[in-house]
Amino acid sequence: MRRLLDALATTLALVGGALLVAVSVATVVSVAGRWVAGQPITGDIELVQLAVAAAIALFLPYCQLHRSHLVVDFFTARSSGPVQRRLDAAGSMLAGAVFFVLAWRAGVAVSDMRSASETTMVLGIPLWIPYAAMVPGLALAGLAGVMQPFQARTRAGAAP
Amino acid sequence: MNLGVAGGLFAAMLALMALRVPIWAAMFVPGALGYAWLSGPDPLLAFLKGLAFARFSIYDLSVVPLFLLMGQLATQGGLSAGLFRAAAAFVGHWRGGLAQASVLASAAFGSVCGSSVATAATISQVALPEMRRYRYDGGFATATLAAGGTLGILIPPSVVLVLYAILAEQNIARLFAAALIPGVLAAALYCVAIALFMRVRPQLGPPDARMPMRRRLEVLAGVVPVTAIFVIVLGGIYGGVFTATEAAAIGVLLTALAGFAARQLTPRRLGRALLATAQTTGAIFMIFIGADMLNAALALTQMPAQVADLIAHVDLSPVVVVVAVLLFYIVLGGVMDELSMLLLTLPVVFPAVMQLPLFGLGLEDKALWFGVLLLTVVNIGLIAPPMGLNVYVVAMQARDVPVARTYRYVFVFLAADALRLALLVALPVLSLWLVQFVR
Repeated sequence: MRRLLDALATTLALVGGALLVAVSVATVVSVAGRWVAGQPITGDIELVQLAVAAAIALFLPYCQLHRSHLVVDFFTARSSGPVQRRLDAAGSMLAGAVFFVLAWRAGVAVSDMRSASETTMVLGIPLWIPYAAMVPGLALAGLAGVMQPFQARTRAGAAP
Repeated sequence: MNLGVAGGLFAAMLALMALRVPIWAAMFVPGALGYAWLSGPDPLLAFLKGLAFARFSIYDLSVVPLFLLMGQLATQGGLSAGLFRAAAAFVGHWRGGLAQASVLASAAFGSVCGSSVATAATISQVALPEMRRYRYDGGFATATLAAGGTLGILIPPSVVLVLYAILAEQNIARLFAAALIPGVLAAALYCVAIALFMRVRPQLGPPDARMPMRRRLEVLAGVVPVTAIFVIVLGGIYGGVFTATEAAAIGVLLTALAGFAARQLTPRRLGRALLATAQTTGAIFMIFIGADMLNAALALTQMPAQVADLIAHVDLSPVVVVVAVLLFYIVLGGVMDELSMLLLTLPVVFPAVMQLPLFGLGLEDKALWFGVLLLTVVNIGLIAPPMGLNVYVVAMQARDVPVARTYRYVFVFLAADALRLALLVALPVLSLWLVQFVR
């Protein structure tokens, strides 16, 4: 289970990373098109927005599994290892629960958008698609959060 | 009544943070409960539907993951090694010279990387073994690398400035221009601080052998890729040739090309760069989500408006108010991470500061100047005890050096930061002079 989760999270993160690279390539092509032909890719800004949003959601399970989220450890730096681990487990489960709520609400948004058939401004992409792209990442991050207490592994976080 | 709710939300947030709940969730949970308490559960559920997508799909924020990826590609592509070797070739034979070389390499790396943590980590990888080989004191070396790492955000591109640009609705190109001279000043003052400190404690940083000039010029080739990327990416932003997002996309491809050309970037390392980008990006955007939720709840109380009113009408000279705000941030940054701190407080503090008459500055100048001041405050928070994030990042690579030993020497750099902050407050021209040349 632990292995499957890890493999799945890593795959999603790599897909998200590949999306970022694709966004970069498309943007450069669009800039080149603007210079050479005076014609950028239509809706390039929209594509960047949708692809980057999807990429960020895909990053979340890996992020949760590798404990990249910032934690204040100033107040508990002197408590014992077991106490810290128990607090971390509780914190991960709370985070996991929030991820599940966010996944559920994004899922509801998908059906809302489908029945209202809303689309993006320039390209007319149905809006439920990018909302649906949020769901797998958020749900798997929730699973990773609630599973965290059952695995022993620490990784330090990262920030600006 | 509502003020009591606002206080309760903050107290709950701090309590959860103290219990090691991830910071974003420590903001989110009280925020969601407060929102439901003040406006009912249905508005909360409606608000949550769009929250993740709305925040993840903001075009101006798309630049953040791209700049992070660019920095990670530069890390995995080994661009930092060339920078450090070149800097060490020129100043390494001075006492404390390898420390100064680390600062210079961090500054150069910061010119293509927008993250202080990534800069501290990557320069440590190349500089730490060298400094230890020349018997540098462990704590002095790690303090230098932690402080040097902050140049990653002080010198544009800077993730923190991107966030500020959005919160304060400022032009990112002009903000980057405003931060450039203060960033270079930071690197220069760090080098001066090291030189002065060496007069007191010369045994901490023994000199390297002097390198002949011809050899120096050879090593200088190592800085060519980074210089080229900097000129194209930041030059393009400053010159208004392309937007920040376009520049970041170009930077991603150029950095990858430079890494492949140097035969440093393998598919395996490319994967590592992508995963590291995933970690930082996810962490930053979840902090956004948490702060969004808490801010939405706080906006329902009257607290933000009342605090803003208080700041704007306090009976003190405007500059004193600004200094007090900065000191408040430095203290708060001791127990909170700097990103959440800015996200939670700027919606209140920024409009209040904009109302103050300051040196007769126009609105935009005031906003740019205040942004540079906040950047310095964040930089201080990243190395100051008790919660200096950069200190911990470097500590992970130097496990034989206790964190307390790093903090013992961090004050050298904090002194330089304090001096720079004072200069930047007193002389807005340091931040604003370059802005006039941007478009």
